[in-house]
Amino acid sequence: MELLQEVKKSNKQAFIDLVEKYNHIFYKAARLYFISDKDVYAVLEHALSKAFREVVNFKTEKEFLCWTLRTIIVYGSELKQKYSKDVDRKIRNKEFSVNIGDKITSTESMVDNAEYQAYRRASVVEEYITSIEEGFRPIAFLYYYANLTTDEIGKILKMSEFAVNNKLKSIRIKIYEMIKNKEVDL
Amino acid sequence: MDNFDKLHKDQDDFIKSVFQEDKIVSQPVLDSFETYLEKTKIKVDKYTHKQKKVIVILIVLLIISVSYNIFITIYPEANIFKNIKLPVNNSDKTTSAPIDQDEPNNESKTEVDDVVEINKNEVADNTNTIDNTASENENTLVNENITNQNTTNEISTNVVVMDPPRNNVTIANVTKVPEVEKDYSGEIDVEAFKDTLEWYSLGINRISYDEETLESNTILLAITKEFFNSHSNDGLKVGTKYTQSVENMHKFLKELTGKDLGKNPIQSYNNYIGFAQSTKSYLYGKDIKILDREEYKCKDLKFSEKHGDSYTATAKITRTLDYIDTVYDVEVEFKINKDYTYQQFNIISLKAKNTSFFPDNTVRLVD
Repeated sequence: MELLQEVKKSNKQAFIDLVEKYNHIFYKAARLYFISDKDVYAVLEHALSKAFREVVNFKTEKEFLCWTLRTIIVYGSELKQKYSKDVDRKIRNKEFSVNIGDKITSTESMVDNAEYQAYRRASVVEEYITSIEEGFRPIAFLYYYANLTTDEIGKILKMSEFAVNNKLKSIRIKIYEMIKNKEVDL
Repeated sequence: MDNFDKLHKDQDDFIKSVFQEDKIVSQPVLDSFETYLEKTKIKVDKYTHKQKKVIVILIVLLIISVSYNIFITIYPEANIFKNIKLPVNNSDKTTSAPIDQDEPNNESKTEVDDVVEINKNEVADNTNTIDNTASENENTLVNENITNQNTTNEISTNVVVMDPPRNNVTIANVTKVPEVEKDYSGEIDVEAFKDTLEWYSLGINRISYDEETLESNTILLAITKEFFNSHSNDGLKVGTKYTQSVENMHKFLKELTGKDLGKNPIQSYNNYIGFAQSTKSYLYGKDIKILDREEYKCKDLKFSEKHGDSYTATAKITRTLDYIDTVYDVEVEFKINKDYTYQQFNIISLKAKNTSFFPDNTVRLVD
């Protein structure tokens, strides 16, 4: 709470401290949509800058966390759609002369990148979350990793609590079995 | 069911414990943001969303308020707050003249000023001619409050004091009135004409001068009745058979309109006023109260022209109906009846033009 009050006085260092407290959640939330750090950073910069400007609206750190996560999810989703359309357009127009590192191709090209593969092996969240269907990923992430309640998840994703519970039901056993199977393999 | 819930909870706890061990982040990403935040000039907003909404609402209200004020400055009649007045009881028909409760000072001041202006002219005439002959003073002084006492004319209102021998006119507590374009004040009883115009205005858009209509007849009869009602203090009791009689009412109308209606009753809307065979007189109908709702006030009365023995006057007539003021610019052509019993003004025509913001709200009379 004190940290939040400091941020409200436009204290940038306090905001960085606040972000560091939740940075693993924010970072992985952005990674639900992008593999490339460049794209992840674009989403985070947008969401965190906005959160800093609007920090006066938050009464608790939980509110700040939920609001920022919602901004990351909404903006990440929009940006990904935009990229997909651009890629589609380029394919239709047979414009394949895109540069490596270009935002449009970065996401796809990074899948086979060794650095990304190393990260995926190291991060269990990345490994399991990316193994389930894309539509279920945000719910699984927010529930199991960000440790939010179904009510809070419903508000972030603009869904009913009942719908959130239903989706959780269908992915719970899948994730559980994946973890168990991996333990057996090890 | 409980076992299922417990199983789900155990599974959830297990998954969470595995997931939350993962704290891997990309440090360069966070470092980049830290650098960006330090370099950028973004600031924390001063106001919350709720405060912003309140400010926006206040600004909108302010804009509406200012716009409304500008609007009512252009169209004063559109001021709904000005037009809200306490209902006035119109049922008392014995009142000799409408009591102006809204603007007593301005109105009475103007009236006094008009009279003073007339008296001043009269006094000037008298002063100029007093040396020649005393009989010149037979020019009727409009204000009966002037008393001649040999060498001193005094106005009982203490506004004008005249001292003929010294040819000196003293005016006290008087502001200059708007100049009358042409001064017929010596010939016309301004107060009486203004009074006549106020009750005659009931006929605006209703009295027809070209042809005889039921609506026009009804209004003329209503005006006649109203005249007798308002002059009951002068001994003209409307209740008396003589006053209500066809002959007598037609006599008044002849003086007012200049038309001889004969001895037979005229056709009209009986639900307002009409001839009753039983009493052989004109009687009010049930709908007469509709006309009682209307009030008329006369302002800016000016006498502009004179052709032969007929005069032209202009004025602003305000009709108040259901708390809405409708202002008409009227032009009245009239004559002065030299030998009259009831009505000294013969109204030849009245033309009215609505100049207010509101549309014309004349209530058409129907049976």
